Formats: sequence, C-alpha cells, structure tokens
Amino acid sequence: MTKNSIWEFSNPLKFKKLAGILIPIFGIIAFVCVITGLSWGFFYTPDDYKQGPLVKIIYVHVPSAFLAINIYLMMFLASLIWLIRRHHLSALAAKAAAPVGLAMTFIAIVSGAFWGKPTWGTYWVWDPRLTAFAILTLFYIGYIILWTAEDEPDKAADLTSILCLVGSVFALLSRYAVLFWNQGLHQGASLSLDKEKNVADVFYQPLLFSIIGFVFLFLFLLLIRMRTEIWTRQINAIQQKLGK
Amino acid sequence: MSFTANGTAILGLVFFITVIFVSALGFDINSTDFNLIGPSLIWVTALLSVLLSAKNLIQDDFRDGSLDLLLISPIPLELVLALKAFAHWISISLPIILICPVISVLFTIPFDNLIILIIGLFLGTPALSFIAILGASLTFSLRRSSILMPILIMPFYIPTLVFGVKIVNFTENTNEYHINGLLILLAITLLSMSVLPFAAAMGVKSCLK
Amino acid sequence: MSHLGEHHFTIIASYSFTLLVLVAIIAQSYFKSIKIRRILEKQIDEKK
Repeated sequence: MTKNSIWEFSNPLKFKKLAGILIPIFGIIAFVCVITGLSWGFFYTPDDYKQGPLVKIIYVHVPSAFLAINIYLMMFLASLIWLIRRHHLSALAAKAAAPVGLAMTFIAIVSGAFWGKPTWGTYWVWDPRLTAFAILTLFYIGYIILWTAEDEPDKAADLTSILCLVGSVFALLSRYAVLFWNQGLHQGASLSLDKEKNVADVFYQPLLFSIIGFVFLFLFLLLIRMRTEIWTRQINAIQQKLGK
Repeated sequence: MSFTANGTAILGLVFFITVIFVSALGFDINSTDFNLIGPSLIWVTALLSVLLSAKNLIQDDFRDGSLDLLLISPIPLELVLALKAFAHWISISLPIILICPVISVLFTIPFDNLIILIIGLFLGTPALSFIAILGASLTFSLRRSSILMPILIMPFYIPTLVFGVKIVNFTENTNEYHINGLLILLAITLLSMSVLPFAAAMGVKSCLK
Repeated sequence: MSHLGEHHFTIIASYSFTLLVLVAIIAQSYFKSIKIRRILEKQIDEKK
C-alpha cells in the first residue's frame, strides 16, 4: 500500500465503508482468539513449578498491559497527525481509542493485583509497574475528561491532542521516576512479575492467541466507536442545517 | 505581568504556610517518622500552591480582552507565555524557597538534607510553573476550569515531585546520588521551559480562533 | 497443598474481572452505536 491509499481512508465516507466490512471480521477473529487463548491457557497448560497455576494470569495481564501502553502510543501518533495534517479521522481515532485503553489499564492493574496477592500478601504494592500503570490510568482519565469539557469538536481535538502529546512525554518520565522512587538509582532485584518475559514455550502459544485476540478486540472496538463518532457528527451537521 | 503577580505572592506564601502547618497536625506527632514527612509535605504543598494559583494566569487576560492584544503584538505568544510562567515562578515558588529554612525548623530537617531540599526546589519548581501554564492554556476557556486544571496537570508533576523528595531523605550518602537527582530535576525543568511554551501557545491559539 | 486451590480462585477472579470489563466496554460501544444510528436515521427522515 502506498502512502496515498492509506490517507484515502481519512475520508469519512470511505472509512465508513471499510469499517462496515472490517467490523464483523475483526469481531469474529477477536472472539475466537481470546476464547482460544484463555481456555487453552487456563485448562491445557501445566502448572508452573514455582508459582503453581497462578502464572496463568499472564493470559489476561500481559495482553491488557501490552495494549494499555500501545493504545496510548497510538493516541500519541493520532494526536500528532491531527495537529499536523488535520485529518478529522485521526482525532476521532484517538478519542475512540482512549476508553478502550482505560479499560485495558483497569484489567492490567486488577489482574496484576490478583497476581500480587499470593506473591506479596497484599493486593496493592507500590512497585514500579503497578504504580506506572496507575499513573497511566490518570493520564487516560484526564484525556477523556478533557474531551467532554469542550463542545466544539475541532477545538476539543486540538486541546486533547496537545494534552496527549505532552502527556506522553511526562508519562514516560513518570515511568522512570517511579522506578527511581521505588528502587533508587540502581535496579534492585527484579520482581517476580518480570518472569513473564521468560515464560517457557508451552506457555507462550496460548499467550500469542490471547495477545492477538486482544489486539483484534481493540481494532473491533476502535472501528465501532469511530463510526459512532462520525454518525454523531453527521447528526450535528444535520441539526445545524435544520436550525438555520 | 510580574507586577500583577506580586499581589498573589503574599497570598501564595500564606497559603503555603497555612497548609503546611495544618497538614502537619494531621500526622501523628508521637510517631518516630514525624520529622521525615517534612520534605514531602513541603514539596506537595509547593506543588499545590503553584497549581492553585496558576489558573488565572491566562484566564484574567482572556476575560478582559488583553489576550487578543497579546496575539497580535510583535512579541511571539510563546515568549509571552514563557515570561508569564517565569513571573509566576518568581512570585510563588521563590518565596517558598526562601521561607524553607524557617519551615524546616518545624520538622527538624538536618542541614545537609535542607540544602538538597532547597536546591531541588530551586531547580524543580520552574517546571511546575511551566507545566501549570500549559494547563491554564488548555482550560482557560472551559467551564469548571478551576477543578479541571488540577485534574489534568497533577500527573505531570509526578516526575519532579518524586525526584525532588527522594533525594532528600536519603539513606545512601553518596554525592553522586544527590547530584544525579538534581541533574534530573534540572533536566525536567529545562525540558519544560523549552517545549511547553510552544504547546501552551498552540492551546491558546486554538481557543481563540 | 490447599493454597493451590486458592490460586485457582484468584485466576478465576481475575479472568472474570477481565471478562466483565471487556463485556462492559463492548456493550457500551455497541449500544451507543445503535442509539446514534437510530437518531441519525430519524434525522435523515426528518430532513426529507
């Protein structure tokens, strides 16, 4: 695909047609992959020798954490594209993605907390990862609130884009700040949560399904929400015309 | 701009002292950790002082129409906003820094820690003002901006706050630890001072179209 | 090894919470989409 044909879909009409086709496809893929990943992971993988069956929480924790971060990254790019090229769909994409990202952070934090309780004894610890995710939640919430505070769509898109761009920088800074806060300048012993990077092969395959499923779920939701936004703007346009 | 800010300077300082004093009463005086809350309380209260005094930085000019004049003046808007932020720092944060030694008596902060605290405040609080002006630029034309701005902006304060506080109550006594922390504070401030005026100007312009 | 059974509860709890949140966000997206579509179609009819 040349760059031209991607920008083609910044036309809302063409986007709606594309969305109409993709939404059911993505929905089905998402459903199949998530169910496969979770059931395979829960029922058909052996227990970890150290953590028992608890490690299977990674099948929800890793995909949600992965998406929570990457959705914010996508919002960053979409905001940048809006500010530079003024494609309305870009601003809509960021607006549509944010609640999904927020949902992902909730899942990541709660699943992380459930994982942590048997390991550390409490539901919440101020460890760098959980804290960083809590901070990400704050950034998501602020972004979503700002969208609701302004009625004029282009102005709201501008303000939220600036918030997202600057927010990304500070979210990144906060990540390192929290690491410093918890462990000083030198990395202490890494927590058992990081074990997920070293999962054995037998765990890895269902995890792949789970991650892919979550990604397609995000795309599914993104397209639905973007289409809803476009319809909303159409309604407002019609109402303005009727009002005249 | 700095002249109008001086009116709020005294208010800001009184706010700071009042909040510190009252908050201290919220802690258990008999706990052995009471004195350790000093630097943290000072930083957090400084944060709040900056945040709560900043919402009118742009809104006042917006209300009386001088914001439009600023837009067409030959001075770039970015510079105007940067100067506003700087003036805000001088009027709110500098008095706080100056009164810090007095406040530190309340918590018997040792002299070495106090030095790090003050240098940290000096290097880090400009960032707070510049971040605040970004917040003001995004929210000045919105309803309920006075509660909205702190919600949006507080998370941005986390890096400065964490580094500012962490290097004070230190148990590791290496100089490198303090210097690295202070350098990071300085870096955050310099980053804020260089980038945020542009972002804030964008915010103002989009509200005034 | 009764704590292993407790772990199973934890996993099920976290999976359930996940599914709960997913269902919530899917439902919200879907129903809002339907509602807006209905309003749009009504508006288009009114315009005619």
